[in-house]
Amino acid sequence: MAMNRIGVFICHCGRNIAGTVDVKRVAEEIGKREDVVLSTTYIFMCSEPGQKLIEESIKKYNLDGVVVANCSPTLHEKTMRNAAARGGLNPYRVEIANIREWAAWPHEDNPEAATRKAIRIINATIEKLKANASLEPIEVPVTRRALVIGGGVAGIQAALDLADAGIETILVEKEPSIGGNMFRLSETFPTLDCPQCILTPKMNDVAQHPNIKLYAYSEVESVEGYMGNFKVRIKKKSTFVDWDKCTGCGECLRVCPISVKSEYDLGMGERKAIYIVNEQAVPLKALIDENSCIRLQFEKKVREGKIKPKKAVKICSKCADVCEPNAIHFKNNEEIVEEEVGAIVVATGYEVMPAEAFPELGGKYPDVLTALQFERLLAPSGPTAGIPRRPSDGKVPESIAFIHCVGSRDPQNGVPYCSRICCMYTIKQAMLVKHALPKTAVYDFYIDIRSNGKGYEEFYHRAKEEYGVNFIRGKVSKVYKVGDKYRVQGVDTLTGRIIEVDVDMVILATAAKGSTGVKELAKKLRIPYDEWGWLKETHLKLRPLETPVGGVFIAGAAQFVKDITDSVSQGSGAAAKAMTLLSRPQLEKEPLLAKVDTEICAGCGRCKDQCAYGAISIDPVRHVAVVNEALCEGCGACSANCPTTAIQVVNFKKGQIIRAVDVLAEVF
Amino acid sequence: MLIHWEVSDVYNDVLKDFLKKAFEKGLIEAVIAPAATDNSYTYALVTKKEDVDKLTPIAPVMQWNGADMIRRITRLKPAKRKTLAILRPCETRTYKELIKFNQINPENFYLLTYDCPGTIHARNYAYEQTPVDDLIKSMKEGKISEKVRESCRVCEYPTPIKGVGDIGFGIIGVDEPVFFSLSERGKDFLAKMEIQEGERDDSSWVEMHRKNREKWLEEKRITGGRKGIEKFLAQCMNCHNCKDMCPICFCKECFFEDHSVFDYESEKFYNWADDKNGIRLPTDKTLFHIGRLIHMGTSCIGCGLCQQACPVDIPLYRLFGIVGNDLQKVFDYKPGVNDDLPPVMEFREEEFEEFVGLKGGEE
Repeated sequence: MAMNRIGVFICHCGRNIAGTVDVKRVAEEIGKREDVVLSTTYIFMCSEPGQKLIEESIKKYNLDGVVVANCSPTLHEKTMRNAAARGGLNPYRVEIANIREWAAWPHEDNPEAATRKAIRIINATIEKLKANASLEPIEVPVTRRALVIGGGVAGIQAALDLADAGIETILVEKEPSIGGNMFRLSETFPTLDCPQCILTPKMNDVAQHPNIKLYAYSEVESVEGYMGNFKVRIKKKSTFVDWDKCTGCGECLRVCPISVKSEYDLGMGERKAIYIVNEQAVPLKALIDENSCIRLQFEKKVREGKIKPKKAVKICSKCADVCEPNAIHFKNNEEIVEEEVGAIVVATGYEVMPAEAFPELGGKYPDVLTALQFERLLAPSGPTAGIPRRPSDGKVPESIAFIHCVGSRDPQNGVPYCSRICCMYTIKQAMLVKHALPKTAVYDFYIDIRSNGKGYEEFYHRAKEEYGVNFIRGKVSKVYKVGDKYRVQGVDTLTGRIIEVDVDMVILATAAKGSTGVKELAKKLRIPYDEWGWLKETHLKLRPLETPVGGVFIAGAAQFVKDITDSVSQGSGAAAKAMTLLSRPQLEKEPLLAKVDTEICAGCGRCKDQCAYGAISIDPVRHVAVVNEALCEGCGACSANCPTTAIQVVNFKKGQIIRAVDVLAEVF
Repeated sequence: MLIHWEVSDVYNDVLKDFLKKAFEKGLIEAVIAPAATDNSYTYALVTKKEDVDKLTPIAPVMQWNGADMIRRITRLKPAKRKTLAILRPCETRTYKELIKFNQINPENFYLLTYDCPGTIHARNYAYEQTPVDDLIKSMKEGKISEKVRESCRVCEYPTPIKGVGDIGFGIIGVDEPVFFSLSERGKDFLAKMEIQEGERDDSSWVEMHRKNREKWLEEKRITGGRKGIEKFLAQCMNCHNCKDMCPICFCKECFFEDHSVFDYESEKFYNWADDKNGIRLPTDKTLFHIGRLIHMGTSCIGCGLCQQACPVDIPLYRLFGIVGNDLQKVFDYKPGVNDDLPPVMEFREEEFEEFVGLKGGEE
C-alpha cells in the first residue's frame, strides 16, 4: 500500500540550511503534494523538541511515513528513526533527505538554485519512501568470546581490557613473543621511559591472565561467520620444541653452534638457530629456526632425497642433549586450532620501509640504518648495550646525521602522507646519542618539526637547548661514501646555503607502512585496506575503531601509524567496542538485507559470485538463490548484478530507485 | 508425428551410423540432434536406437540454439541417462557459457560438434529448401555459400575447438570424414567406439571467416551515437523476440517485461514532452536493447539468432555481435571458449588500468 499520509520535517540546521535554502518556500511547495499531510520546518530537528515534534505529529496526523530533510543520514538517520518509533511509526518508514550536504552547502552562492534542488531532493525521497515496507530487526545470537590479532601494545591492551571484563580472549601473535615494535624501542618519547620496564608488566599480565589464551608464533588461517558468531582457524607454526615442557632456561642457546642475524634486533645483533627472542619474552619459550638449524636442514635434504646417507649419521643434537625437561624433539609440530568468537580486534601494527629502498640516501651502506634499527643500538638490552657502534667496524661514531621524512610526504619515492611519529623519535634518538656519547656531533635534517602531543614541543626544545643537537631545516639530496665517512649533502633552507657534512653514521626516518601480510589478513576478514596496507575505518572521525564488517574492530597502528599513547587508547577503545557487542544476549541486525523473489530467480549465480560476505548460495533443489540473513550486510552488489532483479535489497527496490532517479533527473 | 524422414546424405549417414553403434555399445542412452519438420528443422530427443533414423544431425537451418534446448532439460536436475548431443560449434560454445551461468548441468552429457558450413535463415529456407549437401559441397570447395546467414559468414569459430565439446567431426579437406577428440572424455569415448582418431586441416576455412569478420566489424559498425542507434532501431516494434531467441537471455522474467518499472503517472509523460520538445513512444524501446546489451554483451557467442528472430529484419547481430565483440575485448574474455568466469561474475581487483575507450559513440 503506497503511503498517502506523509509528514515532511525540514530542518534549518541553524543557518547551515536556512541561511541558503528558503525553507519556508520548500515547506510550502512540498505541502502541495496530495500524499503529504504535514510539511513543516524546525530550527534543529535533531534537538529534543525537534524529535518531540516528529513523535507528536505522527500521533496527531496519523502519519504513515516520514521524511526528515536535514543532514547526511550517516549522522541522524538513527535519531529520526528512533523518534518515529517512539511516536508509534515503524522506523523503516522514515527516510532522510540530505539537503544540507547536497543543496545548502554546495550552492551557498546561489540560494535560488539551492532551494529548487532541496525541493527536488525531498520529492525524490518521498518517491522512494512511498514503497517502503515496515520491517522488524533480525535477532542473531552471540558467542561471548573475543579474538585479538596482534600482540603489540595495542593488542595487549585490548586483550587485557577484554579479559578484565570477564570475556574469554584469544590473542594471536605471529612472532614468537608478544611485545611488538614497542618492545624493540630504546626509550620512549617524551618521558624517556624504557619500554622493557613499562611494557613487561602488561606482557606478564597477558601470560598469567586466566581469561587470556595466548597463541604466540601463530597466524590466522581463515575466518568464517559473522558478527557475534565467527569461526576462526589459527595456525600454530612449528617450533620443533614442546612448549609445555620448555622452561625457558636458555641452556640450549648457549650450546647451539649456529649464529644468524636476529629478526628481533632487525639484523643489528645475532641469535642462535635455537632461540628465545629476548630475555623478557612472553611466552619465554625456545624455538628452532628450521632454515638455520643444521640438523633440521640435514633431515630436510634427506627427506627430499637430495642427500642419501650410506650409514646412520650422528648429526648435531647439542641443544637436546642439554635440555633437562626433554622439550626439544625436532619434530614438526605445526597445528591448526579452531576457535569460536563473537568479536575480533585487529591490531597488526606497522613496519618501516627498509633503508635499501633509498640508495640515493646511502641505504646501501652498512652504517646507514633505519631509525628502528638504530633503536636496537640505543637500547640498553640491545646488541651494543646501549652504546651505538657502527655495524661496519664497531667504531663508536663521532658524528651522526638524522634525516627526517625519508619516503614520507614523497609520493614519487614513497608515500604521500606524514608518518607522524618520526619527528619525535628522531629528536629522542638525537637526545639519547648525546646521553651516551656527549662528544658526538648530531645533525638533524628536517622539513618541519611536527610535535603535536602532550609534552612534545617541550621535548623538542630540550633537545635543542639542553643537548645542543644541530637542527637543520632542509632536505638531504644525497649521501655518499668519502673514505671512512659518509658525506651528507643537503640544503639549509633557512639560510639558503648548500650544506655538506661528513659523518660516521646516517639514520633514516623511513616511512611507516602497514605490516607485511596485513592485506591477506584483511581479505580473510573481508575488511577494506588502502594501498599502503593501512586498514580502513568506517568513519575517520566518528567511527575510527569500526570496520564495515560488523564485529570486526581495528586498533593501534594497524589503522594508521600511531605513537604509544594513541595505540594504547585505541586498544582500550576497540576492547570497549567489542565489549558493547558481547554484553548483549542477542544482537539486533538491520533488516535492510537482500531478498530473493524465487518466482523469477533463474539461479544463474551472478549474485553469489559478487557477494563479498559469502551470504548467498544456490538452493540445489529449487535452483534459486538463497540469502543467509545473518551474513548479508545489505550492500546491494547482488541486486546490481542481477539481470532480472530477482534479488533486491528490502526498501531499495527497483521501482523505488528508478522513481527517485526520475525525479532527480528531470530538467532543472 | 512432427518428425519427418529426410533424404539421407553421406555425412549424416556416417553420423547416424556412429549414433547407432554408440547405442549398441551402451555408450549412450539418448541423443539430442536436429530433425526435419515441414519446411524447417527442430531439435529432437530420442532414446532408442531405432529412432536415430528420424534425425538429421547436420541440418541446414538453426531454428533454435541447441544449447538452449539442453538448458531446458537439465536446469533443475541433471540428466540421469547418458546423452550425446550433436551441436554446431556456436551452440557448443553456448553450452559451455551456460554451464558457467549455472543453467546447464553437464552431468552425463557428451557433445559432438563438426566443421560447420553455416545455416540458412529459417524464413528463406521455408521459401527455398536448399539441402544441407549443397552447403557442405560449397564448404568443401572452399567457398562460403551465398545462402547462409550473415552471422555464419562472419563466424569467429566455424570449426570444433579443443576443450569445447568432447568429439569433433571433420569434413573439410578430407574425402572420408574423420572423428577426433576435443576432451579426455571424448578420447575415451572414441576409444570405446574403436574409432581411430583422424586429422584434417581447417585453417583456410577459419581464416576465410575471420577475414570476413574483420571487414564486417569495420564496415557494419553502428556509428553516430544515440542518433545512429535510434536510426538503426527505427523499425523495432518492441516485440522482444530477439531476447526470446537469445540463448544467453535465460532469465525467467525480463526486467523489461515487468511493466511496473516503467509505469508512470500521466503527468510524467507530459512533463517529459515539455522538456524534450516531444518524446517518442513507447519510451522503453531503445532502452530495452541497451539494457539487454549490458546483460548479455560480454557473453554473446555470436549465433546470430537475434537477427533471424527479428520480424522486421533489423540486422540485430550487427548491434549485439559488434558491441559484444568490443566488450569482450575490453574484459579480455572469450565466451564459451576458455574456462574463465564471465567478467560480471568475478571481482577483479586490478582491471581497466590501461583502458582508454571504446570505438564509436561520438556523442
